Amino acid sequence: MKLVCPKCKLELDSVKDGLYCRNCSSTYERKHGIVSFIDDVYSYGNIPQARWDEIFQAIEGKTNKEIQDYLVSQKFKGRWAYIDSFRHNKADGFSFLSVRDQDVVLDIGCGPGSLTIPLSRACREVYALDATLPRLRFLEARRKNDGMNNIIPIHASALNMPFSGPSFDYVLMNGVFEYVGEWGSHGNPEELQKGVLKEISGLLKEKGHLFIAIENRYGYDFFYKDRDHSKLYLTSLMPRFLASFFTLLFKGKTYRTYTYSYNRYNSLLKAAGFQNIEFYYAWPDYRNPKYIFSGRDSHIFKYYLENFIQHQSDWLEYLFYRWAAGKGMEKHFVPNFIIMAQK
Amino acid sequence: MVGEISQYLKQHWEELGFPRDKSPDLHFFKVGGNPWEEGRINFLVFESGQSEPILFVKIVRNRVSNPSIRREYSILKRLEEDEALSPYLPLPIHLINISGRDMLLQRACHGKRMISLLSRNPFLYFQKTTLSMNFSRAMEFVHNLNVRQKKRLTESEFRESIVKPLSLFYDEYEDSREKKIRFADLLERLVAEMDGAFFVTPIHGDYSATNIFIESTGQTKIIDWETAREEGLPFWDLFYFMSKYIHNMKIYPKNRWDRVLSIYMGRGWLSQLVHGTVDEYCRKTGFDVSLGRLIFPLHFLNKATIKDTMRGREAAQPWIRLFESSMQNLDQLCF
Repeated sequence: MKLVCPKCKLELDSVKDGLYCRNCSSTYERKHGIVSFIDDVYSYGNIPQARWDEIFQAIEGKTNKEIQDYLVSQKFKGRWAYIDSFRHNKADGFSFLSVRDQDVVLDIGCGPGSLTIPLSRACREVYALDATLPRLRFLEARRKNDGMNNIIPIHASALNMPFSGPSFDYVLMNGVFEYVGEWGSHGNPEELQKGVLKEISGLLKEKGHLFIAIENRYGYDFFYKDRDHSKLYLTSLMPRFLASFFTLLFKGKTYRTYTYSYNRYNSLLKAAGFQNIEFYYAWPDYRNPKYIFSGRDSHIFKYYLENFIQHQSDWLEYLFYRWAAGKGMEKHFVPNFIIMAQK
Repeated sequence: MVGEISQYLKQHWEELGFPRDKSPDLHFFKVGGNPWEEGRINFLVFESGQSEPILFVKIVRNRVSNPSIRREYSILKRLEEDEALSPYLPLPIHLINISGRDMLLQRACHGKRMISLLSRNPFLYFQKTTLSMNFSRAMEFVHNLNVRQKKRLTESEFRESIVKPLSLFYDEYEDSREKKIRFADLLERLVAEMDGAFFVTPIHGDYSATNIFIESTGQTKIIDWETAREEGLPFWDLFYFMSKYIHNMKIYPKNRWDRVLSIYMGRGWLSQLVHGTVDEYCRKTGFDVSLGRLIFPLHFLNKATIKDTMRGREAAQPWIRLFESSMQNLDQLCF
């Protein structure tokens, strides 16, 4: 597939050390061998640049097992996301979709490759896009070790992707959609998210699938157990202006990591042109899903409730879900969703 | 993947023993499994609108024919022939291959998992009845398995099958000469205790309350034979069941690992229950309790070898610590 210029959407030419746009004369150079369309300024996670330099020096030439052992032996904050990225069960949600050998996949916000690597074994190509360069370098190290030549890492923003026209069979956003608002510092986060959904719809081939894994805004866990993406409690439950007031007060920035309810995800996807929208519940969460099942048959939720939640969770949580299931309202309160929608 | 399995099931619906009145509408529930590439994904299969699953499907994540799935299948098929054991097994079982992937299809177990009967009450006193019942239920199956499937070996076969793998594992694991000598001594005492009548039995390998179903008829069903093997030692499954049960309980002391040994070495009510269960097992199987004492530390080491293979050294560490402490304090065991 030919990449296009994110500014003028025309095909790019290969030049030494990068890509060149004949139309607007922009040059996109390769950074550490990865084609890059943005400055290396955005950084997701807790690991500072100096630490990354140290990490890449240490893992140079090491096997995947040695990389994991190295990270386990270190003590710095943020390393577990990279250790955990080797767990193949993170991509288990995909077993509910029929990925074929000839499919082309776009993994937006691919991170260190939790989904990219397992998926690359099942399909023709995976375009792995992320705005944080070190995460792509980490993925590159894994890719080389695994000998996977069908992964194409791309350093770019999801708000301005170097693709054009229906090119993908699957597009996935695993724990990414809520951050879209943060990638553009201006404008309403919801409008930015709608724009991304529209663009993805344009990039999907006919009958192609979008895969989104994300929290439920009104998930039970947010009522008293878990912090929202703002790193504060309860903000997802508040009206957006109030959440912004608190994040401004305690974090010095407005609230831009929007999550939504079951109904709202449904309407956002429909408005972007998606159909056959199916919600799956992932437990304990979509990052490390031990249990995944469709929300379509409430009997399965009840089975899960009586056989798993009952002895794994606290009593209050069990009673709450039992009440919700009795009213047929569990979909409004499950902690997170894996959403699969078709173009 | 789910789509392919669903298609297969619909095509073979009658062969699998289900009535073909209409084309089934199937839903899949991914449950548990292992996180690594060669690991397994398990699915429970529901027919639309049904409150209990009808099938359990076990798949290996990467597309290869998998020896562990095949081993599990062949052990279960062999045990199926034993009419005293077959009621405890999730039968019927089928080994199929879809798009190059080995899969196990089993009848889904209904009823309650024994783990869900664990009380949330931190006071042991209030758990007495459930505990006794569960220990005795768990012992019932292992005594049948261990006695009925016992296989006689020569001394050299026994050493090759049991002593050597454990020695190799521990040798690589432990640097302390003193501990290695103590371990070698334990193994030699075990060989001497068998007094020329060497034998092994099949073991489940992960015989915990999570893997035991109690059906509404009261019949127990044992699931998850992934770590089962043909040649193990008697007592191993029983000890592991009790260790894991004590580990899972929501009681004090809070450190679950310390709790395990303190119960085995204690004199309280739960220790007495352990004692009683081991005595009952020995009475039913005819195995000597002194053999059980020597085998006891080895069940921790056996678990460490399984953990090490599946999840790496770090996961094996707590089991190694239990093994070493128990080996050092054999004379304090409650049975």
